[in-house]
Amino acid sequence: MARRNYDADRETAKTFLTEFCIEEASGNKYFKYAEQLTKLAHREQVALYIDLDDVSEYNKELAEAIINNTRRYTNLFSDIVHDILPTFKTREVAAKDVLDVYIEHRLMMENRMRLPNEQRNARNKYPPELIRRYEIYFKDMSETKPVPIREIKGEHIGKLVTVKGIVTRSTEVKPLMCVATYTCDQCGSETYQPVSSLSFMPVHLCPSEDCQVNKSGGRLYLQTRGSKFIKFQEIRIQEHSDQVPVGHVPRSLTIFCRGENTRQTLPGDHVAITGVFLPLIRSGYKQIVGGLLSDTYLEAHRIVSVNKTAEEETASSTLTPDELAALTEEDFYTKLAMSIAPEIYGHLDVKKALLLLLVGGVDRKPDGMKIRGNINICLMGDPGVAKSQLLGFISRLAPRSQYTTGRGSSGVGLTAAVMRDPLTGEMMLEGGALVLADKGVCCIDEFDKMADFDRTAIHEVMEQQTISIAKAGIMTTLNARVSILAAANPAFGRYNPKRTIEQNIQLPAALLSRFDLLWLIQDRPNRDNDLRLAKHITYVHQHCKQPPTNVQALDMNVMRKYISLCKMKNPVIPEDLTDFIVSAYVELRKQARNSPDMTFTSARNLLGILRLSTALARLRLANSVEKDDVKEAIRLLEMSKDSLNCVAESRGFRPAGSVNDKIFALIRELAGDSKIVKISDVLEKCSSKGYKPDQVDNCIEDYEALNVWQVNQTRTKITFI
Amino acid sequence: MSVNIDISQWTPEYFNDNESECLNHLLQDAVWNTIPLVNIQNSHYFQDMRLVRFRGMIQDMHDPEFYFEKIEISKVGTDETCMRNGKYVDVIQSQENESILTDSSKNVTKERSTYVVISIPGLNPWAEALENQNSTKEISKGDFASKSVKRTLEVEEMMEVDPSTSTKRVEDKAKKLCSPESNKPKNDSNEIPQDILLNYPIPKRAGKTCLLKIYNDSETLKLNEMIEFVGFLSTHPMLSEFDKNEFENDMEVQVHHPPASLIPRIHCVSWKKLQHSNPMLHDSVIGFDDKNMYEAKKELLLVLTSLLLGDELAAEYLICHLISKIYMRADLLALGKFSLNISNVPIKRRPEYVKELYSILELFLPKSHYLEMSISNINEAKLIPKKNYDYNRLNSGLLQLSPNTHLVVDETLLTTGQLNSTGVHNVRALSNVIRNQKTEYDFVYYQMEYECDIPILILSEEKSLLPSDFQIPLQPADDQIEIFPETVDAIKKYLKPEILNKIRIYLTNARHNSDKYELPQGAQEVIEEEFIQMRKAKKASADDLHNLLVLARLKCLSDGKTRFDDECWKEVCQMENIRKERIEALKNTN
Repeated sequence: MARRNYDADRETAKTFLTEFCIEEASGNKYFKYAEQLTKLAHREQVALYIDLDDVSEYNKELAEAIINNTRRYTNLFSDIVHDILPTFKTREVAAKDVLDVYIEHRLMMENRMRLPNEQRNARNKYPPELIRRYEIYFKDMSETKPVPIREIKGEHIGKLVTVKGIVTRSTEVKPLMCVATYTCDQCGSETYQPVSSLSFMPVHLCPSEDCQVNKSGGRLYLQTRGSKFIKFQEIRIQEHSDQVPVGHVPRSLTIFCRGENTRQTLPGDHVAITGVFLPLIRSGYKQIVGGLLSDTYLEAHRIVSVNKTAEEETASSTLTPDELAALTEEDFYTKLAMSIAPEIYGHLDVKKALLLLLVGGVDRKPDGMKIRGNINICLMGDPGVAKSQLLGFISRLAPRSQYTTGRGSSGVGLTAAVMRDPLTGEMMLEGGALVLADKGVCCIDEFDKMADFDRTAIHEVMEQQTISIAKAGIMTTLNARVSILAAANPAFGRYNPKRTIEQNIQLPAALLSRFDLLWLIQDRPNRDNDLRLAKHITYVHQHCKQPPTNVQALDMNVMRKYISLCKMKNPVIPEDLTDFIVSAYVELRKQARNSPDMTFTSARNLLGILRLSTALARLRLANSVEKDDVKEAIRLLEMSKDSLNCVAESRGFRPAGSVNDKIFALIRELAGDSKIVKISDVLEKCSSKGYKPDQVDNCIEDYEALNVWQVNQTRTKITFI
Repeated sequence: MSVNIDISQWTPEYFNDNESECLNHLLQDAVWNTIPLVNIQNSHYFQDMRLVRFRGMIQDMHDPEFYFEKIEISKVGTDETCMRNGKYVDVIQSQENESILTDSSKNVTKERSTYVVISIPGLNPWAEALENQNSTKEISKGDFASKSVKRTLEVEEMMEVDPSTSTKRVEDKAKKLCSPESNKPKNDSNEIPQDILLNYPIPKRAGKTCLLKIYNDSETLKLNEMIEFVGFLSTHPMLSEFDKNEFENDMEVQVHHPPASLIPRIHCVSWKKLQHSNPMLHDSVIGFDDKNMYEAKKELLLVLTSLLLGDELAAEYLICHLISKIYMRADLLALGKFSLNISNVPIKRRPEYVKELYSILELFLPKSHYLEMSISNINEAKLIPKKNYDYNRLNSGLLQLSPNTHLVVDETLLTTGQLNSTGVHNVRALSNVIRNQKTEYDFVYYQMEYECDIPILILSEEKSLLPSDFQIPLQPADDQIEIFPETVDAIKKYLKPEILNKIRIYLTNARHNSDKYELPQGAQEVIEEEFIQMRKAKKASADDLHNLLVLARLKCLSDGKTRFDDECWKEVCQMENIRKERIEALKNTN
């Protein structure tokens, strides 16, 4: 490789710093670095971040050279700034600290000692580190991807890399000697010793001209106030759990932070750090021992705390075209739903509902009133119907989630508790599962066994999405924007269809009505289903793998990415759908009045429909809700009600074949006073009630045979006789 | 069998020069087995920088380190330079007048991983003893043991003849460190005690810990795997020498550089993954034919039936439990797990029952552990491995066990009382192992799930508070309870070495046949029909069918068959029915 011409680079860098500008919209030129240099000169700014995007725009080669040999270019830029900085100085700067005063005095002394016509810059006598009061850092190019800690290898040494991880340890910030200053007890002159490693060997004998000539053997004494120190902190970051291969232990990386980069993080923070990967140079005995080993560290250039949400956004952008193609296939809605807990057989509608819960509806805040968009779902059912597995899967799939049982395992419980800090004795708030799952999903198993305190608090969470605390002198409101996914066991061991839900679950109606969907999962023997299930399981045992299905379950990561993509959409409900939704709701209310319903229908259901339909629109990545979305939302609502009611049917409340009767009743109702009904209307109506077209066809044929009505030749109209 | 190469003479230098040839030699079992095993003897019986073997389980993985594969060395005062090898050694041998050129462009920097390997936890005394016996036999064959002591002396003399700056100083230390006194904890308050350095999952049963330096393919090794390593021993005392004041994270440095006499370093050249840890059978499981299997099973059934107070059904389930092994995983599904809960243990009349039972089981199983589930124990026990950021290492927990280590949980000791948060976590971790065969290791800032394969046997009075795949209430015969102490004595007398060995081989063999097991296409219909009938008759879920199929598989294997047949299926269905009836009956009496 040809040696780079550093002198040329020096010139390029110099012009870059002084001339680089961004043209603003107003046409004014904004000299990004020149302005910062002025600030540096006036001691108003310490760190100069050089954005490699800008360098690359100016000179691509230079940017690459910087990335490959960052240490050298840091010094190079530092030298340049040192040279050109005086030109940016427009006014006298008041000394800010002791060191400033020292430097000023030193320069003054130096000038006085020299002859006036001597062509020499007084500053040269001093090590540049002592004079410089700024720090040069590079900001990595925006398109460079962070390197996993595991992938950082020998070839990265000396290069600028960006890594992501979680801070596991950070030391106290300590002063690190940068330039040691000594004074001689004989001649009184100052001696400087730049320190570049973590330890140094003090100088004892005065090297000054006077002492050398006189052989007076002056002893040097370290001057703490005259030396220069910089802040130094050592932190350690560890890989995120998703970067660790199965069966391996997370790896970690040591980071050295100096100056402005210290005190940026605390243990537990998620960070992205740009820095130079360097071997640690040891001196003395350790070097002999290590001999063959070199410890490495990352010299931090830029530390950014990454909050989780930002991470989610970047995750969504990395959806590959292949994955997108798989997602945009026909019937992806079913496919996505099937990919939820693929090892649990069936329950497609429940899974669809859970998918919508993950995506969530749109929050509305008209005039300060807050209408939540999060969807709450409660699963009920006999013991052993995989409720807990579904909950477990959702809590793993959701990027932010808490899994807890109603009883809660810690003293904090579900909401929040005021605790006394064992160390300081101060009162502090500790968030419970609901607070921790803010902007996520809170899965609560054994919801029915919740503590009384939590039960009252959860009312607020489920509608207002906040938790108010007023105890021990602390009054506050915490955000708990969560979707609640609850699982409850029936109070009497099995679901008793003769009782209402409240009696079965032993939860107040006020709480139950806050769930958008209530599902009763039941496990009834059914020959066809059982056979399929048996086939499935036998296959697994026979071939030691899941049987191939026509719908290949999607990978969890792909699901996560897609869901976070969906969440970025904020679909609206167009005006012209209003009538449709209103009539559907009125219908629901009417039905609730007329039938011996075990559930309840309230205005909350209307909101529920809106939430579900916006979630559906989000799932399509659409910007507005369509009629089909609303229909599907109503269908899910109907199905969930049916799951509760149809128990009653099967226990002989209604005769078999009641589907036909129901559909007939629907058609009758639709017809109203007129004698003719369009079949397309019938189909639409029935599908919104959760009936399949073939069921409707059956019904029409049956009643045609009974001569209740006639169907015209093209099968578009029904005429009652 | 004659070994015509003297492996004990190989040095890292020689190995580096003839790497492929040496590795070829190692491929032969005969050569491999002559390498002395560090597991048995203290490392200071072995010579530094010679090949040794170590059998163990990977407990932790440190961050990778960079080393110089080739390094340039110059003679002080001259322009002469030469290249030295840095692979498979910790310390470069340099003379007084030589200096290492760390900045030389000719140096080759490479990466190697450091793994902490501990001797297999839970290895039972008989297996350990047998292992010792086997390997001392092999070593004496290679006539190594007699030489080794003498040779270390020679080396020490040699070192004195040819002293070098660093080694001179080190030498004195070496004597100090290698002497047995250094193994005792020192008074220095900063010193980390030995048992913490050793970091063993089961604190009471000590073993050996080694630091393994792996040079290639380290990604293929996973945590908790059982592996036999061959590598160059490095006990250079300089390794644990460091200036304590130089480092801020003193504790970490101490943990990562423990005394080489206590925790030797091994520079690994080759390794083998171990399928099992039964010293009766070596790498390839040859073992028994069908007839032998059948006989061994009969013996075992007889012993277990009398041990389980005459309950043959429970004995059958116990055998299935003893040979269970996970053969497929998919997300939340772990097929092949067979956690067994034997309830209704006559603890009131025979309080020593569980301990006696375990003392017999211990004789059959190569690896097992007995866990007392009393309130105090469960509140204090460290079950979950936890990352310690002060030491920067993974502190082991009881649940960090290699595959197929049996855990016997004695729930009869449980009394009413308060569980603290550790206790709750411990119980939860145990349930997680039983349900999913996974353990969530605590990395403080997040949890990481690791797969495990720990068959758990729970003995309890009533149904256990832990979940289980199969619960079987014991039906003890009254007279059997009466004569239980005599039964145990009789069993112990009956279990003569040849019978014991037969059973040991049988158990390992049956477990290994799992890979050969077939479920023929034709069997599907029988199974499906049975399931539909089950569903009709009473509530049965998908899990029940899974369990039934696992049971059928294990029953077949325990009978020495590797193919599903109808006969076996019928037996299994029958077994399950009786078991369920027993549970029902017990519910009704309550």
